[in-house]
Amino acid sequence: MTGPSRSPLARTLSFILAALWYLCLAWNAVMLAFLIAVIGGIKMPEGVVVMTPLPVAVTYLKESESSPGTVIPEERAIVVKGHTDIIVDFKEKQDRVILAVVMLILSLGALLIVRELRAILREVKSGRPFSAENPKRLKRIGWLVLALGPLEGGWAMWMASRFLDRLAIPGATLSINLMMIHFDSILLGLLILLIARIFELGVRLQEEQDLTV
Amino acid sequence: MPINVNLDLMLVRRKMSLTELSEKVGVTLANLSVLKTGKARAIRFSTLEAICAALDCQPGDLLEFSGKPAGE
Repeated sequence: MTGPSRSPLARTLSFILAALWYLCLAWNAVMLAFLIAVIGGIKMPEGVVVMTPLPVAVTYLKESESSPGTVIPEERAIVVKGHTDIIVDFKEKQDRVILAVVMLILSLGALLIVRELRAILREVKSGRPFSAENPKRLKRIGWLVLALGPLEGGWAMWMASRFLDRLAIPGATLSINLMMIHFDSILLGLLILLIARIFELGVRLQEEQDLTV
Repeated sequence: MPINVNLDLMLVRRKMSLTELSEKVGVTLANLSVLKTGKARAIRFSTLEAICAALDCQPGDLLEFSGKPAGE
């Protein structure tokens, strides 16, 4: 049986996770306030714009090749803030509500992941990394990562597909950029689930070890 | 469990307390309790050796097969 760990790594990690925890709490509060404001139809204060990056690739045509683009009516157009990363400012309430809900789900997921990570770290620090609870925590983290990544990517892709014809960039053609969707989170989630399985075995071995005199 | 641990019996015969044995053998009291109450899944040869030496007995005096085949 190993004693409580006082390693600098564990201390640094717990400090970082604590900071992340409070950041996530603040993020959740902001997102909740945002959702309430959007649903309630409260006007954003002056200077606050609701923006999100979209997985859209931009291709610029040469001057000679560019055809006169379709004119997008002012009220349907989406304000584009940057060209390399397409960041759009949502004007319609429905789009804002969807954005707020997705953001709240993502921030809640991040909060839950940080909570589980802190609980795992606490047990590692107390010298019991193979407690019965840790594989369950790892599993929860794995499923969250597995669910949240595609949610973020899928949502962004869906948004992009809806907005593609409403993005007004002169002299450019737009297409959905699949590489900007976080497929890596699926791999990461599966990896975490695998580690959870390994931890399950570790818990069994620890039990065996504890009952060996 | 078909294997019974008769540690308490040997302790009574040698008029020794569990704490005393724990000190002699160098195994924690908690672990010896696990052994005495029959919760142990395994016993190390080194532990068995130390207990036998401390109680001046044979492994057969401590462990007994109750006759029922394992798994019943």
